[in-house]
Amino acid sequence: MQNDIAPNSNEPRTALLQDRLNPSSSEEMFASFAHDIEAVRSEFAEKVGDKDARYIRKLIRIHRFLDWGGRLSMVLGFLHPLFWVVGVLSLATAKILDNMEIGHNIMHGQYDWMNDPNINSRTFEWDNMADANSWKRYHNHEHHTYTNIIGKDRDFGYGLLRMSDDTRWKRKNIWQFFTYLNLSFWFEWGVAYHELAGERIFVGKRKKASKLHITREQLKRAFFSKAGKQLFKDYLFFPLISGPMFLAVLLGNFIANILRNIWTSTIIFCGHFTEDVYTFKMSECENESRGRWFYRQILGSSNLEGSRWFYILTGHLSHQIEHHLFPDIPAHHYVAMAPKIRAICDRYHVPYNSDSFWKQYAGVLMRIIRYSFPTTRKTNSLAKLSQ
Amino acid sequence: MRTAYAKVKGLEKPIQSPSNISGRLWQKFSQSLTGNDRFSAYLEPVIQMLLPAWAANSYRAQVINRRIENEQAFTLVLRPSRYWPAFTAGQFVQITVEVDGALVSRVFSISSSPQMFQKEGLIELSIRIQEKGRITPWLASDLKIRQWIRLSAPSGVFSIENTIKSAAQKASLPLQKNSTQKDEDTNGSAQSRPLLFIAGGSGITPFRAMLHEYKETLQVTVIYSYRGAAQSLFLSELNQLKTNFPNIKIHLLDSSRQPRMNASRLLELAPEVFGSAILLCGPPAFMQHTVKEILSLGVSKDRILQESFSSTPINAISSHYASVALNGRSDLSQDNFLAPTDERQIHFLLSQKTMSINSNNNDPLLNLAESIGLKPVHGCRAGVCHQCICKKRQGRVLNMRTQQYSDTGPEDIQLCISVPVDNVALDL
Repeated sequence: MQNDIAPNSNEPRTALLQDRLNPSSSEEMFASFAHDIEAVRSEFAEKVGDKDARYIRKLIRIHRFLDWGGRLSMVLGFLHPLFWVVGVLSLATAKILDNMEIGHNIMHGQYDWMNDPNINSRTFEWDNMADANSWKRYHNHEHHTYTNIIGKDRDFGYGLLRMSDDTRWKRKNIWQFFTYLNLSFWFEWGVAYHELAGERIFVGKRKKASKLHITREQLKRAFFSKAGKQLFKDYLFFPLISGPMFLAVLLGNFIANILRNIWTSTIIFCGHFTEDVYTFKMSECENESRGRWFYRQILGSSNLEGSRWFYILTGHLSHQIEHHLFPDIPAHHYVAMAPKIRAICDRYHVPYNSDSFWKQYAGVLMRIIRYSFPTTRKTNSLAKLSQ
Repeated sequence: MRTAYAKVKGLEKPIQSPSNISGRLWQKFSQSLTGNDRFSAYLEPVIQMLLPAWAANSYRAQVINRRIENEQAFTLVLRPSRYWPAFTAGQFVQITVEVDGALVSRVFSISSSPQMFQKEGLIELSIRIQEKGRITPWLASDLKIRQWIRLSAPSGVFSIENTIKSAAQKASLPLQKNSTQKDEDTNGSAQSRPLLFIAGGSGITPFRAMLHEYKETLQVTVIYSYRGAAQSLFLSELNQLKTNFPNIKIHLLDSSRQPRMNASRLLELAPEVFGSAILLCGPPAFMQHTVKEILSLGVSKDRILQESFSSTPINAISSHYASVALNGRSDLSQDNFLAPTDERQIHFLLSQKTMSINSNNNDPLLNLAESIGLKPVHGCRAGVCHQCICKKRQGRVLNMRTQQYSDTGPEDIQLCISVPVDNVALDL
């Protein structure tokens, strides 16, 4: 009980937090909290319509121009190297848009209501090593349902990094900062492998026939098929048709992929691994009410503040809190939802973790470094605060 | 007014993997480069900048005119784009429009003749406004003239040609031998075997196409039953046909003024009923009733070709009849055409299973499917993970999470939080 809340929290003793330590007390408060959050949802769900359809189509068009424009410009690098540089940046931006604002959000079902066969969580495939179906299976289900529950949400540290005292310190954690840099660099591979490995375990452990809707073989095939297609595109087809520019295009595509990897990894780490993010235990989330679920989503996420273009490039994962509350509302609404959610949080004294990108990112790096070393739970757990 | 139901093929260009090797390779190539099965799908939003409503899996058409038929009905005049395939009188199309950002599809019989399409390049769809419908009122007031909409290829086997063919095959009549002479088959055979058209309500639309196409040659009796003039279509036009073409006999029955049609009335209006090929189109209650009356006369059911307007898949009502097109009524109306309300049928089309549930059963579709041994892909069971998304072909569901009712037409739904409120057909 005392270790319910992850360490490194200097949060004040708040109504709901205290309630966590005394869970029997105010289910009503959680109910009214949930009610207020739901009210924001319905307010914005009603606005979803024509504008959103135009928005996502516009972004898709921008993506198409950046994607093919970038690839073309790279080939023109033989005229002037600047073309090549512009091409690489353009392709990297296209990949970022595709993975974040377009792909991630479409695959969350945010645009399923459009009933468009190509803008649809069932059929969308993104420009990323991870097979869309495998990613959906893992990310949408496990990560979004069990956010920051240690042992359930494998995204917490990705099984590579020690991000809280809930995980026992091992010697390999000493160099986990470099592990992190490595992961960032190869992030798309990390994600692809992560979903696959997890499903292997998932399938391996489960024996109930009802859960076995996909076999290991199918998973492996999906992984290799998707990776094969991506490699063919970026490292064979486009370099080959560029003739003498083969190496330049190959290198350009590689750099574009890496730039995208670093960007997405950084943004995602800022969403869940900042200094003040909380973790949870399986035991305290059983039979969780809607209010407690919202509450956990808020405590387990952190927001970034920036400009509009920054928000779009993060796929509005800058608003990780709102995204975790409303994963299927078109993400560009999160910006307007944020102040309302924040006001509700203030009313219920729930910490709302939002800061500038650089501050949050510094927090992430601090956290990675801090947990490189053995720390103990006693040092800074909330239990101490409540005494 | 109908919605495509189930295996009405040809409405969308197939998304399934192509069967030949080069097709499959091309698909793989497109997947590698674009993540889409087809390059055209990848480029769709860009192409739409030049060609509004262009879609990789559909044709398109421009709205040329909207003609008021009466207070409750109107006719859309459309000009399909080039390459739109030819149709036969009696077929239907699916139109798809974007209403507040969402694509909504409806199926309508083409009410104009193939001849008119050949001459003017235009087709007409005659549509009755469903008061509580989502789409028909929109089509009546918000659809703009000159606007482009998506249009499917024509589909369906409800036609004079098919009546003759199927009647000939089933009854092994000598007509079969005429099959080498196709034109004769249509006109010649139609004359040798009289036709009986029985229409209810807006079920007159496919017959209008047939009458205009073959008005000079067809030996036909038309019985048109409707409830009050406001619920009817083309009354003056039918009267005109009647006076101009002695080969066309038309009986108009206003069921709000006179009793429902029965066997003896039928015999009185169309004494040739025993020798005729019978085409039947209307709401399900009307069709069920009429079929029963016709059969009570001792007419062979092989002689009846029907097209239904239904929220209940027609094969569920009368699978043993020569039912040909599986169509459905789309917008709900206050008519009593709907299936009995104390029972709902869930059709799992891909696994070819059907189940009946009580209307006070509030189990979501995922649980229902599992209860009869199906194993749909699913995840969180709470509407979060979107793994259990499934294409619903027909019927309304209530989304437990948003407490919103779905449209009646085809769309994707989350099985784990969708509770059926109509008879529902799923691609599962």
